[in-house]
Amino acid sequence: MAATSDYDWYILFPNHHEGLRLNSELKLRGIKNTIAPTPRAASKSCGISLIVLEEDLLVIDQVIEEKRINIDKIVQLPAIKNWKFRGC
Amino acid sequence: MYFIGIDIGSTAAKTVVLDGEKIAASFILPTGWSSKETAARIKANLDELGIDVEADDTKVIATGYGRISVDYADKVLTEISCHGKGGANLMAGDCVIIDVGGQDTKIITMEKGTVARFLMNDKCSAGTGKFIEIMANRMGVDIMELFMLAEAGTPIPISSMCTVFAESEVISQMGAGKSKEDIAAGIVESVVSRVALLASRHDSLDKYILTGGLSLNPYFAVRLAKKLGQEVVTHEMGIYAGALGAALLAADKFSKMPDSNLHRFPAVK
Amino acid sequence: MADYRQMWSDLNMDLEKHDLLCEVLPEAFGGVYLSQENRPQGMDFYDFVVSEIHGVRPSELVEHRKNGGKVFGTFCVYVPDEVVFAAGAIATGLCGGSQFWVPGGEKVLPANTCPLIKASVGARLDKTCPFFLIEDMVFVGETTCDGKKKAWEILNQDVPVYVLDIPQMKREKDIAAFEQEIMDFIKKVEDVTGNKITPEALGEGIKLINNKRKALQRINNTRKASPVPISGKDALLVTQIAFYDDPARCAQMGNKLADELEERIAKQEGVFPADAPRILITGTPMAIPNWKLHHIIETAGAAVVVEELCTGTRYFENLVDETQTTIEGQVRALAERYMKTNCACFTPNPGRLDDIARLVKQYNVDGVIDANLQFCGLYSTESYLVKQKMDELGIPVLHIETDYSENDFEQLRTRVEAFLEMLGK
Repeated sequence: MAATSDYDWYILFPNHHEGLRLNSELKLRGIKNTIAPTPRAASKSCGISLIVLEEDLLVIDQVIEEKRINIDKIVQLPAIKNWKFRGC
Repeated sequence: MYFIGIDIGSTAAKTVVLDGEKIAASFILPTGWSSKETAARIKANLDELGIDVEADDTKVIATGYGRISVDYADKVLTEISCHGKGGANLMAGDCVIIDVGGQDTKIITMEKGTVARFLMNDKCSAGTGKFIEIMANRMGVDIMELFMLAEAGTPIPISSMCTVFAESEVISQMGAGKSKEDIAAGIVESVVSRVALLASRHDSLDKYILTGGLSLNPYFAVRLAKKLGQEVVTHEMGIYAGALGAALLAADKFSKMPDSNLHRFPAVK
Repeated sequence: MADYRQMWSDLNMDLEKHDLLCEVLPEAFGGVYLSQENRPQGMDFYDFVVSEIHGVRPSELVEHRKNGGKVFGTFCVYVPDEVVFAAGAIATGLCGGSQFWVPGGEKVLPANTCPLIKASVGARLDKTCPFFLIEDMVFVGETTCDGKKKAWEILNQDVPVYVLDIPQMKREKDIAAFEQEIMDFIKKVEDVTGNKITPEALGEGIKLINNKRKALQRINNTRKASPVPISGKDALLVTQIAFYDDPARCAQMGNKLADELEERIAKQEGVFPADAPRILITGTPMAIPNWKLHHIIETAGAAVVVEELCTGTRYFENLVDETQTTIEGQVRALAERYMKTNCACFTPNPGRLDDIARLVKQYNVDGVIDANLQFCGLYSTESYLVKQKMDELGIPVLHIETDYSENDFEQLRTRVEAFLEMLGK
């Protein structure tokens, strides 16, 4: 999803199973979320994270609680504006 | 109503202002380090001329590698479209435009007033204005002096295709005591050959116009014509081809008049 | 936190160096992929695979090894994966598409070697890619260009490389020769795995890979629609991942994505406006994570609708005949299928020109971008013939030569934008 606000919210997980579980639970409920590689600024892990919208955070919290999904943490990072192409 | 074309190249920034069907103003500024600053200076220059780029009836198209820095442009287009349009206007019809710029060389074929094909040199600087600049620096002369020397010399061939290797070749020629004139002629010939080779990969309409910085020097066009075996025209406005094209395209795009074509604006003499 | 460091360290990877690669991936992938609007939901799976590209699949391969299975690493679409899976082994693609690995390759290869070869060798020698370090993996090279042929000899000093001899012409005797080559490969795979390849097993292998091809074909078929339901970038990613993923899962996920794309077509939902210029890309392979050209084209407002590439139609277009019941018949069917793939390493190679011409029609293409990696003599030479063919058809074509680095990005962008302006859409 394109960055519309100044910040992006990332949910980090202990492993990808938990991340994929939350991803499908959110999809079921029509809550926008994008699977992404975890940014370095959030963690040195090389696993998945979910980018979510700020206004959905409360509902997402409930889903996490209700479905007993293990998350590592929720991180707020400044959105990258004027991104310039880089290869990897 | 003003239509303004701004062409920010790697070394020079060219501006052309069309008022109706005539050129109201044209000027060149060195690009310098920041094309953002250059764009601001162009705006200030136009202000002094009494032209407000933000006015509703003034339309700006920016082109060249610094085109995105012109934040007051109504539209940006690539140098290919603009040089093609401008070159064809200078030739009053379809032709092949050879533009040797500071950073790249373009061959553009115009058919029925629009770009039919184009070629650009690969990312290396051989066969561009950059090559001549580097070699002139190496010889301790400016570009105009280099051309003057070249005119009086007999080319010593430079075998290397790569600018870096060619530079060492030139150094060893200088070390071997070869005449400055002959070395200079060899340098120009090397660029002429590269440009001609690029042009020969393009099926031609036998009407060539040389635009860009190197078109200011007739000697280059003469050598190029010889290599191609065909006439190569230069035009005093040749360095403005991109900016002129941008201004013409602004007129095409934004004027209320019925769909225009290349010939609505008579070729600028 | 997902931690694969133990596995990487067990694989004897250079963790410090590898960490530099891990560091750039999130931003690069975010900027190229996640910035796109209205992506199909089915791309979630592929985003996940990329997010854990050096973790999730390599750990499956390591697990397979632990259970006594074998892994074969391949570099080319002419290697018959069917044979490998028929023996209960796993085949995985190994092509390097990152600039990150190029300097490592340049330590042993001439700088004027194509970046694909340099990256593939560098990834192994630098120990920065887990796929290249799976224990006693069999490296399967092939003879599809001079650069590769010599590179195998050098790579072979570090790890044994089995080389498959691919014919250079397509006469009957060449197809027969490839049949023999597949027979020899069967023996090799049997020797390595200790498993006999029966007609039943090979039949299963053929079905498995055909199903994966069918799923990829379905996805690509949807790209004929206007507006196009999936971006070229996303479609390219699906194909790139198909080289590494488990074939059955690849088919399953591919079909799921295809379902969604077909629904999108029914709703006339697309990711580009219906009047966006439609581009076909042809040329040399774009191995993961090489997304440069697609990114330039699609951020300039055009849609890439089909790739006549090894990471495109050449990978999945033709199916293997499933009706054969003997090894001889199956091998003949395999040889025939693989010899239908048209690479510039063949002479003459009119089939590729015909393929491009056909795809231009089928996908309603406005312009062709013929892109080859720097120093690929085969594809850059053949570009002359591609242009000739497109001129005949009146289809504009732009030839581009590039590598994995970022430094020609703006120059390429100018060319692509000028090309799109020329298309006048």
